[in-house]
Amino acid sequence: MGTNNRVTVFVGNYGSGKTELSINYALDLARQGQQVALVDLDIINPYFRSREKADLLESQGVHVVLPPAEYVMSEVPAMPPEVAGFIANKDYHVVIDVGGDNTGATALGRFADLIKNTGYRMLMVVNTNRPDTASPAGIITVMHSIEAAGGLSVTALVSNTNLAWETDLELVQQGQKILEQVSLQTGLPIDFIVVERSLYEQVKEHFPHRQVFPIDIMMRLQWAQT
Amino acid sequence: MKKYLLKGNEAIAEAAVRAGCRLFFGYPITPSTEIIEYMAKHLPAVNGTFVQAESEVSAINMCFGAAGAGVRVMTASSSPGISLMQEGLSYIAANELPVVVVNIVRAGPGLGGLGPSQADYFQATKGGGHGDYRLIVLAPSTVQELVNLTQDAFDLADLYRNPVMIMADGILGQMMEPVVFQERETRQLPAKDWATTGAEGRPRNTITSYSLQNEIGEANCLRWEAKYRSIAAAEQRWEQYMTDDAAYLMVAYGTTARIAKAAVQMARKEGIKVGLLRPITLWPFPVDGFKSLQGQIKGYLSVELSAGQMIEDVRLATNCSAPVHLCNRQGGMVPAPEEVLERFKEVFPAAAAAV
Repeated sequence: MGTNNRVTVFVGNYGSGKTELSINYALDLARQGQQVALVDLDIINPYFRSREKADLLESQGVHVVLPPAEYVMSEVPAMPPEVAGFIANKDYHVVIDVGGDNTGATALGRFADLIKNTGYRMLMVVNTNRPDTASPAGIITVMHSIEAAGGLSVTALVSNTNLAWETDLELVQQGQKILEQVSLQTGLPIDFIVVERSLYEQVKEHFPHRQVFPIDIMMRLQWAQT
Repeated sequence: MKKYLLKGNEAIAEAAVRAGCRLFFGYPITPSTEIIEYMAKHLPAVNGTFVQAESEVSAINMCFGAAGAGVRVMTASSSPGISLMQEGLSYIAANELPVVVVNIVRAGPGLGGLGPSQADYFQATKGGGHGDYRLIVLAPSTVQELVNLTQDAFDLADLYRNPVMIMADGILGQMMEPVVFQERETRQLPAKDWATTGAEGRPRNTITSYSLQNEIGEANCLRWEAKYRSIAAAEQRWEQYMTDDAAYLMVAYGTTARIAKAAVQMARKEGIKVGLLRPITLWPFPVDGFKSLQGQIKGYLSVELSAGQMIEDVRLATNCSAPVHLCNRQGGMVPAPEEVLERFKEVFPAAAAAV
């Protein structure tokens, strides 16, 4: 029981950046030589899901746990039985990418007892430039609804404030300020700040005592910035 | 002004709330569900009402009634749901009622698939329901434009007393981009003195599209026809990109316009003189945009997520003065910019050879 780092569950408001973070987090673990399984639990809808990057992830040593191929484009909560196997397998780090909001977290409830027994950390990913999580009160409301639906408690916060390619240091600071208020009110620690790799040095310099996790954006459409 | 990172669907919903939409009736369907979710969550806070109808047939008829009472109202769905609404749309058009309808298009026909598509172009622009009527059809291509055009849609609907459709494919509904909600000038709009709001102290207003006398029927048709002609003259919108010296033109709207734009940029790097014309109104189709370029263009490439629907309007707008070819993917698949450029070179080998 309790918190450990072997099972990491990413939850949050939809559009908070869970999928980008999950993919990068899993790749980072694989680079460190860990055995990693990424569970795509997004049953909300079939756009922009980590399963689109399954081939890339597999080639980099991340095992992607997906529904059978014929159901990959479906919206049914059909998860293969191996999910439970990986959660229980002490040789594996398991990263769980949960669908957005309480609706998405409902799929987590199916594995809640198992995850609780094995130990986990559940990170609430927050982008304060999303409408429902722009204030401490909004963030806490979303968090409680996710906890109720998923049957697990958030153990820490992750700051992922961004406006896609328009993100700068000032924006990250603003987000961090709001998240610090949430941290004060809830007692939850802020585990790390997520930024696109191009901003890493700048943000790291500004927050020398914070862990900053740089990510490479995987899901952005190649023509988005034309 | 605070910027938000919004999904296209959320952006439409928030823009509608800010445009004064206080009633929403709908039935959820992928990939437009977030619009309905957002309205359900946010309308009560502004004293609005959201009703999840038992079907799309019911939702569109609730819009019919609400619009008749003079209230700003919207519904949203995706292709199969929009098909179910066609009868209601014909009635709403005939009764000249302002309703905003969003179609986040997915693959068809039939139940189709959940992937993005533009195969509802004919249905939207040529009248999917019965009778001679037109929807004003707006085709945004960024999340910011979804915001702006949603706000415009309510004004256009009120101004012309006509249903307005916002048509975007699943990618636009689902993708996330930074947006701002700018304060807008309130447009001077005609009073809704036709609305059925209780006839106390004034003659009764009636809303009906049934005429038992053919003479009256024809008079109605002529009135509608004149209205559609004036909309066609006044409301064409389009964007031109790198057209000044263009010898060839790609034509695309919505998501494919952005892909085509990337393809144009790649072609320009190779020295190929190609531009892009992006229709923003699909009806009225921006024929004026084509007229201004007609003398200089040697060939057109219509880029679509369909078997080739808009291509017919491109041929009409250009009077087939130069060859019009198609670059397309279907069934939820989307071309990469490289694919579009390759197709361009395949159908216009002279363009690449001229470099």
